[in-house]
Amino acid sequence: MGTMVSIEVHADPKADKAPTQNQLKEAVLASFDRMERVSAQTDRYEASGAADVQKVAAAAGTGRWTTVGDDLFYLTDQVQKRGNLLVDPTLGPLIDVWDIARETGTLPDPAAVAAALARTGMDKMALNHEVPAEAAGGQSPNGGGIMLTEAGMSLDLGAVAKGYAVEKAWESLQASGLPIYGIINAGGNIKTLGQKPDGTMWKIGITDPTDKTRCMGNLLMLQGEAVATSGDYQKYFESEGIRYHHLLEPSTGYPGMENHAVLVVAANGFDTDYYSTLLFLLPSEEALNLAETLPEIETIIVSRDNKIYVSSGLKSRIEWTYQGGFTLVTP
Amino acid sequence: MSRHDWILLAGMMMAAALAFTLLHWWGTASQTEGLVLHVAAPAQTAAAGTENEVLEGLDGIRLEETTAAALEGMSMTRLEAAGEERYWQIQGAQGTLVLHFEPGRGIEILKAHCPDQVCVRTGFIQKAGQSIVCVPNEVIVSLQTPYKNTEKEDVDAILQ
Ligand SMILES: [Zn+2]
Repeated sequence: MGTMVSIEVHADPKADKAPTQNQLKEAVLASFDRMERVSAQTDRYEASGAADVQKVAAAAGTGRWTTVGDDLFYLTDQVQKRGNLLVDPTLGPLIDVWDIARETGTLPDPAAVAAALARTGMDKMALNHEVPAEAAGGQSPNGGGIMLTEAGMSLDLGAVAKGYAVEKAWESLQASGLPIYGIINAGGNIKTLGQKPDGTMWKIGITDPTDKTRCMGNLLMLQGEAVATSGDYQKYFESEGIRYHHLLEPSTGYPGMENHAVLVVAANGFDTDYYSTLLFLLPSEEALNLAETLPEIETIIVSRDNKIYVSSGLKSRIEWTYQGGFTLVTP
Repeated sequence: MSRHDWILLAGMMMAAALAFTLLHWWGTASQTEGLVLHVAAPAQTAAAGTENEVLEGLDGIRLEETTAAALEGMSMTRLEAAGEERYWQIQGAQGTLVLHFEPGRGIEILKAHCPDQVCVRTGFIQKAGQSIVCVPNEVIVSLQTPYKNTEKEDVDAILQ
């Protein structure tokens, strides 16, 4: 997945028939395998070049469909259907420019950003459910065809793939049918499984975006709930005191400068990842207002001007331990 | 094993020895808090960001940048070999590896995409200074005495 993933599972002590250690082990390995399947389709940095996203990029501008697996097809289809242009799966060329900038620690040439930006856009990505029926590789029966209409285009599912993979890993553990509880942690994406034997809620430490060695507080989570954070502290470089991070504004081609971090809680891991990216790119108050209209998500927004906004459903579920130089805004 | 593998193995062993020496040198104030697990793996591609970010894993992990600098081209992650049983999936040069921590038994590489499976057959390690090496994946897993107390908050996980 590009990041390390940890899975912690335990047998529920209250269960009538406790699972054996081997059953637990098999369930965890199956769950990791499921995540690897997502990765094999969506990881555009895959060394072998065999990932489905890489095949799609290689065929960009040729007018040919590329048959992709179910996970990649689902992700591109979902993002396109939701239609918000702030979450764009075609930012590959732009991300390449910023990857180089981060490696070298120098700002990219504005002309290079503009040139990359010209090769992005969801309107230049075509999806076709019918393609696999003919191409029938057998491996991914529910996949589909993807075509990028211009040469030099490429997909990047970084905004949603990890949250989705965590969701699939969780589904895989659920499908084992074992009486278990635990937690899946992929760094910025977490999902809880079952209930702790002592009946308390899951307690998740929230990283302070201005000092990642510190937690600002704890988030109390229900069973089967997911959380994701998009933050300007996760991947970045600094130039003349400005932090250039990995969350790019699709219309400008530059990192979004409205917020330090946006945390999103939802039942589904895909939603947490999708909306944490989307809200991050909006002005804080607009992001909060949007979140309040969406019943499926709750959010914590840490704005660039050091204010913390919390959506109404989450207020009673945070234990603040430390707020640094931040001000808690209570509307 | 090809000549390249032997050179790589020698390099990795030297790196492990160096890391071990450095850790001991720093380790004067070590406590009996339990051991920590160091995982050296190939530095990820640009996807994982710059080296600092590569080192930043997840829950319970504190990175040690100086140690990483000693292992050029590799990333070093420090995991807590304590607490509850758990599994990690990490990326090696040839594919993923699954690490398994079991209280009382230690750390093992449970599964690896490597042709020789030497790392998997090594089984559990539980003492400071012991390590497991997967040459094809360019991964070293070693147990060390902690040289800095990890301030583990009383939480189930940390959202990075
Ligand atoms: Zn091996």
